[in-house]
Amino acid sequence: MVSFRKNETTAPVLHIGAVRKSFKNNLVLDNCSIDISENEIVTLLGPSGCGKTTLLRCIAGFLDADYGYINIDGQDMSNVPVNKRPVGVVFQSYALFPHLTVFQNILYPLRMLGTNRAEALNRVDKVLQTVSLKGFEKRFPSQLSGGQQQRVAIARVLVMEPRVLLLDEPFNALDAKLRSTMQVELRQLIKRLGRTAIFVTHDQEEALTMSDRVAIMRAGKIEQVATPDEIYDRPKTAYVAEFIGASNFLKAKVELSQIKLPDGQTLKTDYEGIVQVMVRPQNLSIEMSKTGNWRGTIIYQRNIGPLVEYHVETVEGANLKIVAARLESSLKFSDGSNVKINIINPELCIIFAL
Amino acid sequence: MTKAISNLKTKQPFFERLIDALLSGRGIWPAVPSLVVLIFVAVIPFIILLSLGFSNITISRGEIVSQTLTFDFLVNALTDPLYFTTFKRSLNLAISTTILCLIFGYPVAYLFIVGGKFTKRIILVLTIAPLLTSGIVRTYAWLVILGGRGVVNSTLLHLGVIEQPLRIMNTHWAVLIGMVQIHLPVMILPLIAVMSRHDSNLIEASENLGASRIGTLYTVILPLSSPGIGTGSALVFTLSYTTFVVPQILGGGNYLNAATMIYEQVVFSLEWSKGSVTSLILMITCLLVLVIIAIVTNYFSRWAKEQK
Repeated sequence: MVSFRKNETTAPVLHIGAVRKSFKNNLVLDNCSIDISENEIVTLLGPSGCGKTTLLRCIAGFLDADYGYINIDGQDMSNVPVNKRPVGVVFQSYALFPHLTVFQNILYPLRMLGTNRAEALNRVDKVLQTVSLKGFEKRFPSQLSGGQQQRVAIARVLVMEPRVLLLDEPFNALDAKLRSTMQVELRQLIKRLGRTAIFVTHDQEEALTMSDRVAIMRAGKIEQVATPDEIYDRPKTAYVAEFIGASNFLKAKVELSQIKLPDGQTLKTDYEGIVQVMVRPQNLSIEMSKTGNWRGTIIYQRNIGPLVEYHVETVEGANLKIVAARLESSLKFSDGSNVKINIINPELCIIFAL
Repeated sequence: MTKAISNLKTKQPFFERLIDALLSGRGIWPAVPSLVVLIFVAVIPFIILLSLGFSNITISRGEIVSQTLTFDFLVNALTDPLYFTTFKRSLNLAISTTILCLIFGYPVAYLFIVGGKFTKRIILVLTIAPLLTSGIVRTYAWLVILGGRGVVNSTLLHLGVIEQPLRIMNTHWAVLIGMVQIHLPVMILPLIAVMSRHDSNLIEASENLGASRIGTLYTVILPLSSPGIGTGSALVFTLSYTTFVVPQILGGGNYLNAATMIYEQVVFSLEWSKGSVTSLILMITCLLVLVIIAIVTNYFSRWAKEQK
């Protein structure tokens, strides 16, 4: 948060202002605005079809926005052709040239830019070192593993030293374990090189791991842009809350600026009428009891490594997700147990107008 | 368990086991039916044909009475200048057809891969539709277009570009035009097949990496389509080197290429041995060119071999 405020004073590297794009009569991007500062990693997060890839393609120049600005370093990009934009794209499929070796793939942009041979070789060598692909120069892309292919794709873009890196779901083709290692590695690499980057993903965990800020997109609009912590702890809308992390929504009535939570505790609010209260699963606790204000039955338990996720049906018929650390004490529940539900900290509940 | 299964298999009747083997997809079994047919309709007739070219045959009352080995027909063919000029003409025609098909076909295939859904559909229909009519019909259509009072001549006369009708029919040019048109789909289809196999992001990637449209064409699209260029060229060359219909119709019966020569030797002069030797030379020279095409194609698509 602190480093971010410092950046706010400098001009943004990438300015996207009121970008609109439609295909035929289908509005895909609706008034998207976001400024991205030097060295910042921003993720565009949203379900498929929300327009995140379209926005990325507009920035790269593969698509022309119908309306709005895309500026890089204050320069309007609308009349700059794809091959002249200071932007490097890592494709979901990596799009490595199958007829070129690793070395030739990475040299390609420098060949196209007409960099002199000696400097080009030097830069390729450096980049190969950065992504630790030394010794793989002579291989063809098809002879590499998925993780190695991804590193070639990144190296090929880095060697151009673009102002903005655009990464379109770069981890999709990797298996789960490699994915999480590569996420951390790639973030560290981009930070070390001091690059500005935009990720596109539909994976919330990836977004929270990778980015300085997350932009949540919904039906062509940017719903909220904030740091991962802020997005998680203070979602602006119910949509954001539901998209990031698991959440439970409870309906409640405001009486005298107060909400009476089902477990008996109260919560102050400025809202009026019927509202939605969002409680994260880890903010709920259960104990074996047949009495209490808020009771329910465990329908099933899901073992997720260090955590146990309980699915509880309340007496009123609502379904709740409750997460607890996997400790001796929390393992005593069996399916069908009657439990008493408590909200651990009511202050952490978020209220949304219905 | 495995033992039980193998026991079961050995008890199957021969016919069922044969069907199993044919459908197994292992070894050469799936190719067996077509191999059997090929042996009867291609290999055996070919051996008979060859034997004709190298034997002195005496026929009496419709029956072969004596057959002795001779190389006279081969020596005769190799020393006769008529053979040389005829084969040179065939080769010339086939190579020009192949090159022209490539020149006209490549842009169409390129348009296919960069074009939208509608463009793709139109190109496919236009490429495949001519194949639905017979080559003879398509060749006769050129008579209407290129003839003395054909569409081309009457238009040019009408516009005052020429005063006398051009003589296009029955020339080398008429044959070449017909050949290119007939064989164009055979070039375009393998090109499209190979070119659309690649990740469509490659073109965007190369532009993003600083390549212009032309740069992308030369450094990405062209090298990646080399297997298609090779296949298309080999097919068009083989078909046009051995073609018979087009030269016969558009050449007006006096355009002698290898195939028409064989036809005349066998059908008109009834010199089967000569025809056999000519066929042999046609086949061997054709194979030689195919080998050259294969070597060149392999050189340009070395990368494809490295694929897993």
